[in-house]
Amino acid sequence: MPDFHETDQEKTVRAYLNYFARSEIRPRSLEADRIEDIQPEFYQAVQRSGISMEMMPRSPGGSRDGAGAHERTTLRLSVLASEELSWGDASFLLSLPGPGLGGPPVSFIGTKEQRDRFFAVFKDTERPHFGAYALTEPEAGSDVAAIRTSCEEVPGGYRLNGTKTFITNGGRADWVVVFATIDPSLGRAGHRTFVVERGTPGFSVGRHHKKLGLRANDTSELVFADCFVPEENLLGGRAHYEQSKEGFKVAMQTFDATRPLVAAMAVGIARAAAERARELVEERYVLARPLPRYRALREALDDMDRRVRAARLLTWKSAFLADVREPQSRAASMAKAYTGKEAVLICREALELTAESGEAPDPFLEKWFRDIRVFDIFEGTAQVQRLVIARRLFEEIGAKVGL
Amino acid sequence: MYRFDWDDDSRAVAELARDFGRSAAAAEREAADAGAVPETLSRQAEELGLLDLIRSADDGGLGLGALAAGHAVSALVAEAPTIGTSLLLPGVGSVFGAPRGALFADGGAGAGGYRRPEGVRFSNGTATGRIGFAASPTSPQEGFLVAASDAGDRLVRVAGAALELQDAPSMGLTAMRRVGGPVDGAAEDLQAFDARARQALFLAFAPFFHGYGRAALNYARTYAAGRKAFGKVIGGFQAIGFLLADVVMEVEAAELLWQEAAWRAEQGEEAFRFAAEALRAAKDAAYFAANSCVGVLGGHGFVDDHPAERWLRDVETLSALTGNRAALGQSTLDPSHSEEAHGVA
Repeated sequence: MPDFHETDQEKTVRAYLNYFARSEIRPRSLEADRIEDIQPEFYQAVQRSGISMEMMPRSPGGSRDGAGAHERTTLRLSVLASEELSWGDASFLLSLPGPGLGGPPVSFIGTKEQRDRFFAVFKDTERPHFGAYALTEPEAGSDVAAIRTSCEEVPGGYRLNGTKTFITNGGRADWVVVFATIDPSLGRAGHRTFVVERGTPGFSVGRHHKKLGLRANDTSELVFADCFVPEENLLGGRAHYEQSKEGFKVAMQTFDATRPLVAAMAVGIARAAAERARELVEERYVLARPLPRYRALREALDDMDRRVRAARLLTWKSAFLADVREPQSRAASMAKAYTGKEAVLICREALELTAESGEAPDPFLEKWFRDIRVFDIFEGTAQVQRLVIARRLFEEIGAKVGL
Repeated sequence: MYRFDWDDDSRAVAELARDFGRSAAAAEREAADAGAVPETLSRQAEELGLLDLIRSADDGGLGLGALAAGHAVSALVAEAPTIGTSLLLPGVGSVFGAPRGALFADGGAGAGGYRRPEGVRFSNGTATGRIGFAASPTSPQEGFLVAASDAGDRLVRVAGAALELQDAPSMGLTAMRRVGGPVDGAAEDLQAFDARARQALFLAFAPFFHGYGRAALNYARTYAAGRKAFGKVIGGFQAIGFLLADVVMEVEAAELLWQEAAWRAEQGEEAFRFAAEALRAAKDAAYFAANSCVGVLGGHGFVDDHPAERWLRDVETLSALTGNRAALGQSTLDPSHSEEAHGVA
């Protein structure tokens, strides 16, 4: 039976993370946005707090060695945490130490030796460590199958050439999961997945992108120029790629696991904007009347709350399905698409509802208006999500329509 | 820890309802044209217990809670919208203990949000006034009416003789008897028709819309997977595929809002606002789905060779019958969102 009760564990996690977001993130948020970086004191606070947010579940679909056959709660708790911390500032969440989006592919297909080796770095709590996930290229974003970064087999390993772009935490990652192709003409079947460690000759960080929002979080270009990657860094080992399309499947599995988390981030921002708008409206007057006495405004505020809740429920459902190991590709894309669309609208409405002539916009609402826009773009654009949803819809009735 | 699966009993009842709906689907058009559900189907639904999903076990019903009952209603209506609604909607008064064969009607006291001055009033043990529009059993033996009184809105019971009902035409729900007319007679005061009562009603209505939403989505999907234009099936065009993606998102979001509201109600929480918002979202999603279904079918959606145009009529009629959509959105309906709550009374 559907059940919406919050366990004591969830209540504790939510309350603690909300406190952390309120006391350690929000006060630094606007300044971090201005300087386009996270203040070092934040990482000290993270260390003190004991938050070592590995927001990405280690094995969303179960690791290859069959670990975890029972229902998990990983993604549901992660989704909850993602909303609370993003309510503080999504840039800070994205900048939390940990493997980030690089975690799921290492978990999914990495050998035990690889998982142990690459995750070991995060045991060091003296300074922040990061992982990253490099799939997007200047000429291949949504069309993942069209990546051109090449991996040529050479004695002892592979030689990588190409450029990756828009890579979250790419400039400071200890290692990066890189998708490359042995032959572009093979399409998805030619994909291989590597872990490239910082300092590897031929691997360099290009420019740091200047962005509309989420400015405090590092988004960088990565360049691979005759970059030699040893055989042992081919994720899953050579045998893993004997089945065709496996590399592409890894990329897609990662998205199924991370889209609910990204959706939850958008829920957190939308909730913050809706709450802020209500606070501001309640203290303002227009034409000598308190704003809350205007029915249209009250309706707009209530409607924002409803849409935040609907977005959260779709997100929760996709996380639940992942935790009980049900197919959730459509649910994950629905959560991402619905949340992205509604959160963008809510942040814009919040700014509109609180606008006063002759006054600068509320700085938080202005920031969230900029931050939220990418949530309809990254981890698959709004159009890509609809493509996934529509394909799955037709597949459910056994129809191939050529979408 | 939240979850979204169904227990075995709820799933079994929903599957029973769904299977019945599938078997009834072929008779949809016949029922809509004839103005009544074929007798054999009515009897079969009754034998299966589908007419008594919410009615308490003490009164001979299945005694399901709002969640399990709504899940079954939605499953049946998704397969046979017109017949399912015709069979189940007149029984919605069982939420308040109304027996089968009784008419449940919003007598204009504002179950859906607006108060009609010419509606039913209850005073000194008598109900007088007028019912505007209600889903009716074939020959109502008594009436459970929402009536205005000096003590606030009340649910009252009147004998069948107090009802002078006439058929009330409407563009949709044509397989079901719809009535309106004067009320005048002795009435028994049953209970306050307060926020909790309205909440229960909103939760009972919403699954009908979910069913219509699912039906329209499924029909449009099947049509789009088979209909060819410009050399390929139209589902292969993003304009169609993306539209269906938007429809399924709205339909499922509305279902989840309802699930949360119904769950809160079953926990004994005050869930008025959740229920009102869930019903409003259900209406919007069902309209979006039905209207999109007509659009996907193009000219074929506009004519009665396909059920799309009937479902669109049905959804709008059902929406009108179950309360004003705009009123549901008025935050003044929710005491916690009143001006007093904002400190600006």
